[in-house]
Amino acid sequence: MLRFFLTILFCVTAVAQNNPLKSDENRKLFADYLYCQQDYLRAAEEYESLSKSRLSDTILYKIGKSYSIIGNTDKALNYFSSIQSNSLLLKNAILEEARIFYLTEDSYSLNKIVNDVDTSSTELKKILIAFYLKTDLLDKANNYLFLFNDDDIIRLKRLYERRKNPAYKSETVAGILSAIIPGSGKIYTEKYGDGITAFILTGIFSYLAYDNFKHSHQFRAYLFSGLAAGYYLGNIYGSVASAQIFNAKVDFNFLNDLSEFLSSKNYFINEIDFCK
Amino acid sequence: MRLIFVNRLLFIILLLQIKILSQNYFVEQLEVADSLFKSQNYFDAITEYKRLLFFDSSNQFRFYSNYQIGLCYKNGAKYSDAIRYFVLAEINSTNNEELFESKIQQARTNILRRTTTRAEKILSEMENDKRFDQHKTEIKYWRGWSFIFSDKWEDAHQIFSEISETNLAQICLNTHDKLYSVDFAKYSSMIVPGLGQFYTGEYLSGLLSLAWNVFSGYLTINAFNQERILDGVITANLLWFRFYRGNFQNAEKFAEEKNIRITNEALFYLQNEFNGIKP
Repeated sequence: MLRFFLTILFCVTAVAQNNPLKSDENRKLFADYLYCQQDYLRAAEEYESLSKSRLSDTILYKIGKSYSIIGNTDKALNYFSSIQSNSLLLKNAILEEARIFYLTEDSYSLNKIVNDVDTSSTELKKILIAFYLKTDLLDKANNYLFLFNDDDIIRLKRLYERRKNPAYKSETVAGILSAIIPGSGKIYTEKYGDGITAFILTGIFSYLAYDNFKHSHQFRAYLFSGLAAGYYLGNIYGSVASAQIFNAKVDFNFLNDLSEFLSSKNYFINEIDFCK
Repeated sequence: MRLIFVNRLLFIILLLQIKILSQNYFVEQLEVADSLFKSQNYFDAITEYKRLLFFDSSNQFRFYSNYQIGLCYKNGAKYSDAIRYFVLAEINSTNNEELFESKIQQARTNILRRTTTRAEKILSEMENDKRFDQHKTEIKYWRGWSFIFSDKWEDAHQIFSEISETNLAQICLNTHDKLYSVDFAKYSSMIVPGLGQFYTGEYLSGLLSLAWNVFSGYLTINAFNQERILDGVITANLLWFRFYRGNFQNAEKFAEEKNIRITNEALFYLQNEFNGIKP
């Protein structure tokens, strides 16, 4: 009995030399807590300080996920790629890598992952199609769109059609229209208020210029002529600019809708809840 | 009999050893966190305080750790996070001093975050709380700072004068005296175009404003005199009123910009030259 107590006492004293709060076991507990608190940088650093034998695929995945969330994509890719080929998390890790390549517009790596690493994954192909739509490589997108069929592909086909036939307005037409009838270029680019205002103001100034010349009020005639000319030329320039803005808006809305679609689908990643 | 006694004694020593050691670990952990805090390594300090909070099941360090985390976030200019932890410190305070410290830090961080309405609400609550009667002067001091950050320099001067903070009171008074009246700049330009610009020291802009208004006014009146009503209406609406409106808006903008420059200079001085306690 005496020996037993002495042994325990010795062990407790020996253990006291190291802070148990920083033992691997406790570090992992603390890192899990930080991860669930969404304190991702600290969580990743805690996981990284575990001894190598403790770095399971789950932990590697969580480190990668943490770095991915805080935008440190290089480190995230490093950890996702270190997950073993027989792991249950491999599929998710590859999709996470694909998401990073999509967001960083790394065409080469995304193609490589789809065509070399996991050729059978439909989710990866969907991300690749979305990438081609994003970067306006429609022929390449078309190659994949008809390989399989499901609700996501139907949505992607609709987005493909929008990208292929965008509702652009011609800058030249807008300029010419405004040159012929002031304001009509703006109306063509769906700026109805601006178009009507430009038409009325140019009309009024032109009339006043004409009327003042007719009645020999030279100063006011030149003043109104200047104003009319300014409005007329400004309106032509404004209509061309308005068409450019309209087209930029079409592109912006398309990319926004594509991004919203991918976010709503979580980039086709079946998210694992580690904090249940 | 003797052996049983020795066994019991050893057992008690063992229990004490375990108890003391676990306490020591927390104290050691706290020392690590504090040293990181002192060396201004706030990121790592937060990690260590959070570790302490996570493992401290006795809640012995709950107030202190939350309070220190709040200070770390505050020093790293993450004010919203800082306020969250000061609130947690307030919840875990065990006496009136701790309660006061956590609440006053909330007010100070709100001042820095420029959510001065919230800061003033907290300070008012504290002022009406009998537990903080001995801290009335300090509460007023921070209310003064809250007034400074909400550009109420005259109010700040009054409150600092009340608590005999003469240096701060003088700085606030000087700043208040330097400020331009935005309303005067605007309305004077409505009466005489360009006057507001002259008031704010923008003489060229004032002269141009006056010239454009005189010129477009002349054109308008001239058109009406010659019974060219449409000319007059169009000139008045599209030239004169445009210059008239631009004139007083311009005067208002000048006064606001100059006031921002004056208050920024005062805040810069307070940040770099003032030696007293700052939020």
